[in-house]
Amino acid sequence: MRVSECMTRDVQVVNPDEPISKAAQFMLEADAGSMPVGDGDRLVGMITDRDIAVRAVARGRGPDTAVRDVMTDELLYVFEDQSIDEVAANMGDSQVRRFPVVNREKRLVGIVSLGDICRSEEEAATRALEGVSEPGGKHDQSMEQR
Amino acid sequence: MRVSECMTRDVQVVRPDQPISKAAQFMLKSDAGSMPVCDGDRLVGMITDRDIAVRAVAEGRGPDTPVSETMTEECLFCFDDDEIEEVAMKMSDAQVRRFPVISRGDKRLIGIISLGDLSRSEQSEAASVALGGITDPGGRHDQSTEAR
Repeated sequence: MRVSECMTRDVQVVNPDEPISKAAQFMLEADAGSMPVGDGDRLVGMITDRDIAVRAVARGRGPDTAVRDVMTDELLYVFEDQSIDEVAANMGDSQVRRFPVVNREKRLVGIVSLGDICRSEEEAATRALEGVSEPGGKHDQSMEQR
Repeated sequence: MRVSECMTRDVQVVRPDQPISKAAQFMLKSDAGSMPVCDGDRLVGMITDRDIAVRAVAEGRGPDTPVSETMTEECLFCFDDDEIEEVAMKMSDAQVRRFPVISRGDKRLIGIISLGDLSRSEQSEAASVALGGITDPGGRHDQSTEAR
């Protein structure tokens, strides 16, 4: 399965010049711990709830601090046509739970989370189980789905 | 194995009347995402890096905001004589990585136990119980069905 089949397309982005309070509000509303920082549709970084706490608040900086001052600009991203197995391995290596997804022109097209991947693997597992519970079923597609 | 055998005793705490900038500094230095809030040696809450971001900064509040206004008062904890398998299950259910440890006798905060402590303990089985549902969806410790 490809990233584009299980990613979230409706991705909330914050601009590097916006205040961190804005990013924190998005994270609260979306129940997310991180979000992409984009300049137009160009991905320039990621910001996490922890970045806000330890890079701004710990240094005595207020809610008006610019996102660019606390974001991580070393970019981890995945391509929309990569397989989710590959991405799952990446997530394990880097201890990151959400990756921005870009197309081959490096434009931001979505976000993929550990949850998205688990759900699609569960669906695949459910399809496989349906096959098991109906051993002779001619519509069992568990093999094709893998 | 008991919690007291693998917990960290040297626990950094913050007071409810201290500013969140102080809590954030501790979290940065100790590479932790949460810390206990104590009034004397009595546990009154926990504060996380996320609490600081979404309860203070998101509301436009500054680094001088008192910890008491952003902490979680009803926090999870465990006792020093609890079995670590039990604690691992609790962590997994709550999706929490660190629990404050309270002495059963006089209810004082005496330590903190993390997923890391569990995995370093001999019975690293306990840590895979806690992490199982998340990192290994198809593994034998997968708890996704129970979690529903």
